[in-house]
Amino acid sequence: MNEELTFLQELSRMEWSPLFISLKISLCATLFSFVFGTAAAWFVFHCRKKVRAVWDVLFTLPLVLPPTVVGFLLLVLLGRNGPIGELLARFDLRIIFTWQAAVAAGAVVAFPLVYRTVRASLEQIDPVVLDAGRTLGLPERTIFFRIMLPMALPGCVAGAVLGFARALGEFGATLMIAGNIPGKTQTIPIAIWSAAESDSMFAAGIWVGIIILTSFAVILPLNFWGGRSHA
Amino acid sequence: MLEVSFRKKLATFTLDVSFSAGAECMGLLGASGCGKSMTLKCIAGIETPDSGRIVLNGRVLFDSEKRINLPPQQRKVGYLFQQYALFPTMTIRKNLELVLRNLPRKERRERAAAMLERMHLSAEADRKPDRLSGGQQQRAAIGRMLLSSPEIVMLDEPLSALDSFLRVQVEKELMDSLANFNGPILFVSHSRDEIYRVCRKLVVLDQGAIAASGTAEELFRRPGTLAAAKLTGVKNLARAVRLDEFHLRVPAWGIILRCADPAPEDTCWVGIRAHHIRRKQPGDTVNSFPFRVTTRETQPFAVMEYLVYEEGCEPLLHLVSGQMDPVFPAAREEFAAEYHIPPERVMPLT
Repeated sequence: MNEELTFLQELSRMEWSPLFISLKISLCATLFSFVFGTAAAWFVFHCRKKVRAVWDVLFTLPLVLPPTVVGFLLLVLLGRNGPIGELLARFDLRIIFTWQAAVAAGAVVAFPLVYRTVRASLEQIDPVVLDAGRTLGLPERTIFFRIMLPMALPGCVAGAVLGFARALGEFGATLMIAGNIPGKTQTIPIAIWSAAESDSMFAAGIWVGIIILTSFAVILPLNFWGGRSHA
Repeated sequence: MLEVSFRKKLATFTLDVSFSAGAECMGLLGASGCGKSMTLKCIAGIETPDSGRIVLNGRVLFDSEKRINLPPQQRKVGYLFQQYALFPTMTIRKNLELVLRNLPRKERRERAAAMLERMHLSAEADRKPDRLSGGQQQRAAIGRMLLSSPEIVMLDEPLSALDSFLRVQVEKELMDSLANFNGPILFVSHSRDEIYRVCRKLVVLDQGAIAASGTAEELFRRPGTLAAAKLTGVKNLARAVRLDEFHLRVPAWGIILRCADPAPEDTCWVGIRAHHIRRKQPGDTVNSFPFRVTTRETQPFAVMEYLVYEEGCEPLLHLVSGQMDPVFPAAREEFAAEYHIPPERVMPLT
């Protein structure tokens, strides 16, 4: 009875802002990574074979690099003296240690997953269908948006979902460039770390549970959907 | 009018073709992998030749010297792919309408609907391609191709994706649907029967090179080259030694043949169609040989005999088709007889 009460009390004392901050940042990051990842997939798909391999490695790097490396590079790019940071400073904008910086970090780490999944499904398309479109006089743009993307739709959705899950879990780079500002840039993974550091194992546990459930809920439907479209 | 002359190096041979086609149906006959489809792809601009020139109705589509290479979009070349290549995520109607995307919505709809009507596809218009039969998919692809107003139509093995019992029917529908098209039609096939039925003119491709060309009738009568003879279905082929203009010695068969057409100097093969050999009749003087029948295969509507001149010689195939000819009532029993090969049926080949 007593324990039950403490649980509710503990729950009522939880600060829920990391949940909404995480969702906001992950959704924005997914949007950016989807647009750029799809564009990169299209670009590499149309590249000549020799340069293709190089671009592919470049676009896959954020997937394998330590998040701190991504964080460092973003810090250099977006910081006050970095090329992008300087440009933004002219408009009196500062991005480091804002939630937008966390979006940048999430987008960069989610990008390779979108890029790879979309590219794989573009490569599944029978090139004859695209050649048919060309002989019918359709410009490349129309072929991409009206024929290729719809045919690659399952891959695009899979890529976006994986990207979302990855952005949701982003920790290292986010911490480096967005910091740990409760109510502003504190996402769930950072809240877990923060709580564990200050021995609030209960709050950390709740957040861990939420993250696992969310990832599960997002990826499971994908499997059912993917299974159906293959039938 | 299409004028084609180009070279392209491929993995196993060099494609080197040169031909022209007027407003008629011209056949490209060749075994699979001989460069037929590659030729069409080069004309369509999907593949680029190494050198040469392709001109359609006075428009230069490709010229390696002048560095002209129009993209497929600007060539106005209709290409019917072997697997039809309909856009799988769209209904048949949308497939057709996409080609007319620059027209106002109303006109686009009307023209697509009219074409669907013409292709007898109105009932299937709102289905996706995978719900259609092979013949319906083909008509949809033809309709879509015609809406792009091509100046030439190229058909790449249009019937080979179909079950054999459907082919004759679909072939007729195919040619009917193209009846109003007045430009060159290139018909690619490995089937001599299809080509012979559909095309008046013919180019025979062998290993990327043109082995023979001319009217279909003439090519089937006098193939001229070994490759053309094989592709037009000549069953009896053997090396030959030219003795003089009208005599060929055939070591493999052990006989000397007289031919009615003068044999070219460089003749080194001879061909005889299996159904051109016949039993000797009174009055047959030349090219008459006593053959032994070693094997007799009964087919549904024909009998195939293997004729050997003497021990160690290769057999000649003799096809007796249709109902058993009353002239040879004993065809089934006899195992040795005099046969005649009409000199006008002997094909000297180079």
